[in-house]
Amino acid sequence: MLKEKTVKNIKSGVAAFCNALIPVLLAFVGGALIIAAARENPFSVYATMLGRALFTPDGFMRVLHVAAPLILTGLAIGVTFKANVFNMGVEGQMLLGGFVAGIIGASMRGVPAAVHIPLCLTAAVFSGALFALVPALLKAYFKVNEMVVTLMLNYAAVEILAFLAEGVFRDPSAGYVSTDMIAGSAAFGRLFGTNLTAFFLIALAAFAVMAVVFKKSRLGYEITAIGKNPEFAEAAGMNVRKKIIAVMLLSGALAGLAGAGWMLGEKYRYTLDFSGSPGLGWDGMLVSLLGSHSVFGILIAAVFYGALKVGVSQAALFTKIPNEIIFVIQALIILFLSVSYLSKNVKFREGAGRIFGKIKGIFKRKKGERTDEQHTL
Amino acid sequence: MNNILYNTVLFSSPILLCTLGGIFAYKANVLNIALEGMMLTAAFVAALTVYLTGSYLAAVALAVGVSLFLGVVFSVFGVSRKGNVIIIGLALNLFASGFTALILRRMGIAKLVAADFSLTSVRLFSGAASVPFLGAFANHTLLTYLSYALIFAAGVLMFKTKTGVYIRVAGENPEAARAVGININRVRYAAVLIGAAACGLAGVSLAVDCFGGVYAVNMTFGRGFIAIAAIYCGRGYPLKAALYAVLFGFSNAAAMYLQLTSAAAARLLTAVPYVMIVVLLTVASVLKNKGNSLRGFYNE
Repeated sequence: MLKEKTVKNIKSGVAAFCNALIPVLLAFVGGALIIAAARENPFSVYATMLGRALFTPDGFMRVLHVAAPLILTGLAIGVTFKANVFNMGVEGQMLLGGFVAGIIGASMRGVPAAVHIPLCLTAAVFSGALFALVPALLKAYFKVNEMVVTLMLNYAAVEILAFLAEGVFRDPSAGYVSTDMIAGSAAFGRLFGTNLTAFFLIALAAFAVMAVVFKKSRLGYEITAIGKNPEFAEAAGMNVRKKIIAVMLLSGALAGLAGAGWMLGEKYRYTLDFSGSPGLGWDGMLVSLLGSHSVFGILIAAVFYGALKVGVSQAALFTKIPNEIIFVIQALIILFLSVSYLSKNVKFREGAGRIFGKIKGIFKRKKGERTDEQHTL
Repeated sequence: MNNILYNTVLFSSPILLCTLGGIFAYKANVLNIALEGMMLTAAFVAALTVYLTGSYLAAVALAVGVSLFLGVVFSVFGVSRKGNVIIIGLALNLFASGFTALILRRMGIAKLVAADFSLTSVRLFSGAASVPFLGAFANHTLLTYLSYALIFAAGVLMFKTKTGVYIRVAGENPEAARAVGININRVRYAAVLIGAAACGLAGVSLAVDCFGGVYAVNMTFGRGFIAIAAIYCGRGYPLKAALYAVLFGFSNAAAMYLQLTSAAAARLLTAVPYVMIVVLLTVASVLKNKGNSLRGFYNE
């Protein structure tokens, strides 16, 4: 019995791994074609990327540093997708968290770091969660489509934060739009002289907490159950409304933490390109998809994607390949990820069926049309 | 005032085109969130074409062509291979913004401006431009007028033709459609491609008609998603959805006008249309669910 289960687990793990690997390989082939079209040698570009990102100690520490916010935004997306709620607003919640941390970090002086940093992080976590509460309440009480709302609020957040950064909070001495630099007591120091900061440890701690939540806690079980079949979950006595709100709050909090850490550990001030492009929230989407929304998968995918980011920025320094190539590769990975290549095992099919069922659910007019979904469950 | 009205008519046009095209995929039960990316790519191609050739017609043809290509990619992955359409949509959106930014970077410019291009020759009823009130509806391009005519064309296509019936059946009851021998995949391809073609036109409308042949990175700025919100609010009915699209066009034009008068709050005003969409969606949803005591959060 036990053995059978282990075999099944290994099988599903292998399939999940292949389903993540094939799209990545296809995307790299696509990327190579584009690099070749730009009259560069794709092999030497990829070699530079890999070598500089993974095979130097400095580069690897940098990769982990860059992966830290991705772990958090990946978890933020993963937790909602698992519950079949689509929080596309992670980007906006992350920006708000970063902004709040930056303002508190800059406006308080003469506070010990042991107070200042936790204060910034807590405020950012709360603001991210509060921002996520808006779509959560609209979804839970008025059944407003959370995907459209969160997408719209992203744009609103970008504009409002830009307005604040250009006006009230602008650092007049900076030559570009930027808030004041945070105080030294709010900044994460480098650990042991490497590129790593305590932010990476915080991200790891958040990852550990989420792993426990999903594997051991009632909330984690309920989230999974709701994701699989909300009607059944509700009929079984779960308060789906409350859980949707809880999931969105959790997601917003993780996103806020990601922004705060990026602010205190890397950027130190809010600028209009704080999150880079396509943005840490969107990167989190890729990370979560790549890790098939599982906590451990997300961790691995975040490090992988961190390596890709560091590699591309290095390649941009040493070759003529512009940074934008990373979007294209990222987009291709996501595109190829959308279809499954191996669906031999039950576990994976379940996941695909769930997502597909959700999309159908979006449009479903009549009840009693669930047949397709039930086949896969 | 006339200026706001003129800009409302003008800036509603791309959203309107996107909305009316997207309705078909919505009805066929393949949510196409790649409207944004298709419009963006089309805007880029349109701006590039008028920059290089100065030909409006070539811009329309190429923009629609590129958008259709993206539609085919979307359909191959989403309809034939049965991938997750939301993820495919996201990927195409990302690809559009990344690929166009990449080309701009290779060209060594931050923004594409077709300085030599002039819209004067393609504008209609220019003579009436100075008439009070009515002037706001004159001096537009054929494409702008077409986008309003399409409200009715989409209604006819959706509710009066065989294609429309097939699309609606494929979305509402795929088993029944299959039972009477409709090739659902083919119908869904058609629905997605109608949307893609409309997004191609929307791209031309945005880059050439609204901004006079300019492409800036991510210039659609959520208009595709606004179109999706309009489709949701209007629940797939062309006229209703079009009203929401025009409402957004109006708030867009009003924000632009107010920006001219009060520079300080300009940024804040650009956020208004997005917040407005959220409010509208909420109101529409509250009205729809009034007196509905059905269980569940996922069936809309």
